[in-house]
Amino acid sequence: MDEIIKETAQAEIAECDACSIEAKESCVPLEENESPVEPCDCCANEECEAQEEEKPGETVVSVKELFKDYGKLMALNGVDLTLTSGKIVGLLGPNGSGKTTLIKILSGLLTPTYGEAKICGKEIGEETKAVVSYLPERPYFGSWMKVEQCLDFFGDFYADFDRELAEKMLIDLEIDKTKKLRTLSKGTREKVQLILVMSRRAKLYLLDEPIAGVDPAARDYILETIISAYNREATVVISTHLISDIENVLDEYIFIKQGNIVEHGCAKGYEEKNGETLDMHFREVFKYVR
Amino acid sequence: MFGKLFKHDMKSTMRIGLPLLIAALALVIFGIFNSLFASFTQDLSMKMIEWSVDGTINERVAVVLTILVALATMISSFFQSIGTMVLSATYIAMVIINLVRFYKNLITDEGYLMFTLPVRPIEILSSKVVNACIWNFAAYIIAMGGALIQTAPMYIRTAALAIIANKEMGLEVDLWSIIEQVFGVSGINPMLLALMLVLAVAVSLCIVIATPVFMFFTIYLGGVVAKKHKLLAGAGFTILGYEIYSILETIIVFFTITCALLPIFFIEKAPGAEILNYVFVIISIILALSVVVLIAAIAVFFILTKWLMTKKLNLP
Repeated sequence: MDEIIKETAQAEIAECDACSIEAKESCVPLEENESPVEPCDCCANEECEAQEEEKPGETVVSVKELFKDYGKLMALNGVDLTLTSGKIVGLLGPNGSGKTTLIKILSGLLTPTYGEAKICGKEIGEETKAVVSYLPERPYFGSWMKVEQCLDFFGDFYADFDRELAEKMLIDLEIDKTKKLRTLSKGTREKVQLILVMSRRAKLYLLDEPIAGVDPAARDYILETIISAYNREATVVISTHLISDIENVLDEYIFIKQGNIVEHGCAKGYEEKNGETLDMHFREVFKYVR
Repeated sequence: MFGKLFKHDMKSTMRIGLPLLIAALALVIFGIFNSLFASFTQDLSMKMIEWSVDGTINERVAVVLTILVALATMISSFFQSIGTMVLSATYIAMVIINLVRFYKNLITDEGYLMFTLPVRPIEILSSKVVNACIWNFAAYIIAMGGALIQTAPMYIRTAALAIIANKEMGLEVDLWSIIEQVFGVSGINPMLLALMLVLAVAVSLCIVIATPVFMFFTIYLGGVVAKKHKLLAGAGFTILGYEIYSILETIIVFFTITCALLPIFFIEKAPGAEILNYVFVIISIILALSVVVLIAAIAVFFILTKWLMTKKLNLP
């Protein structure tokens, strides 16, 4: 995982003004016309917070008092949430905590029972769907379709779809675009879907369990794809309960428990600051009592 | 966006729909040849009677030929019956194909794709309805038209024989007199008959449109209401809705016809064409009302489905 981070960050790496060691791009508090000289990991967390205070990004997701019930089951229990642009956010929680429900509401697949959910200041609808790239936890293309037909489909409906990028990624992964989806393995179908979703220049990526059910090598590839392909101005929300696999790529984390957001914080340099990994903290927060 | 949705819907239905229609067309062509063969066997049997009477063929040959002709006629009739049944089934199969496409595309996993597209629900629904109507209509035309066309050689042969017979007797043949002969009375109002036929076609068209609109509503309702076995729930709503419709239709049509035709029973002397024209008027009124009711039903079910898709969208 560290290798992935290194590779991804290399293109953007420069020396930190404070201590002259390598640092990451995402926490740089850039002023106008300032050269992109970046802080190191040790300075990153503080500067990340400072950046938030001085130059907060555009609000991409705004959720207020969001409730969703499935009959007697309350899936979301008054969620309030604001996410700004240019962040990779981990939506973390155990099974049945409300992660998928929140993502589905944001992608327009569920109607909330009560409350307000906006994307880029707009009510969920066809306008927001044009800027949201959603990866569900299940295959959503007809198995009779060829890979190239899937590309045509995305190209037809999404103005922000970068077909060249998608085709390049298919070639990199040696996926034959003339093949029908039903002839591909489950893992390859998931990769095709991820490629399509990440080839959009969207403002918000909603990735529901993108690494669940795949082998560790595929997990690395998926995370690498997410980091390398996503639009830098966009926000990426990754829903998962496999914290250790993704905590190094996150800018922010959200802990969701029984339909409530119990924690929302900065994930950059979390271990250095708190003396424990996010995964350890997650296990503590969501520990089951015998 | 409607155009793009429609294009993709057509493509997905075409995979199964087109081979089905091609097979149905092939069956129609086979039916035409079968019908020609049936006409030929009838001619042959007539000739055999002549030949056996004038001694052209001996009795043994006549018996063998008669058995062969009888067998050929049986086989031909069998294929004609099967063909008619299969052609009728083509329409039903097409309706089911469109329903399954609708269900899979919007209520199962594919719905995750469809409902995250930057399109309005009304565009998705309109595309599905127009697509289903086109395919159902094509199947309807092939099924109904095919059933008529494959029996055409027999009708043409009968008509040709009648014309020849009339000409031999020195009589002029015109179409209207043949129609009047069919009904057994003269003095039928041709405008009334034409109006009735036009209304009958309009009702058929409305049914072809109303069927997918109604079924899309019930299937979607099943998808919204049921947590599990959504297809089963949708099928249940479809059957329930159809039963309610059938009962209402039976009651309304029965009372309308009974009330409308009641005066006929009080006429002491049947005035022939007048009664028939009166019956045509009543049937035309019923057909016109059916068109109005069906158009209203199409609008109501379309709006209800669109409302469900907008306000009650809940994919599992």
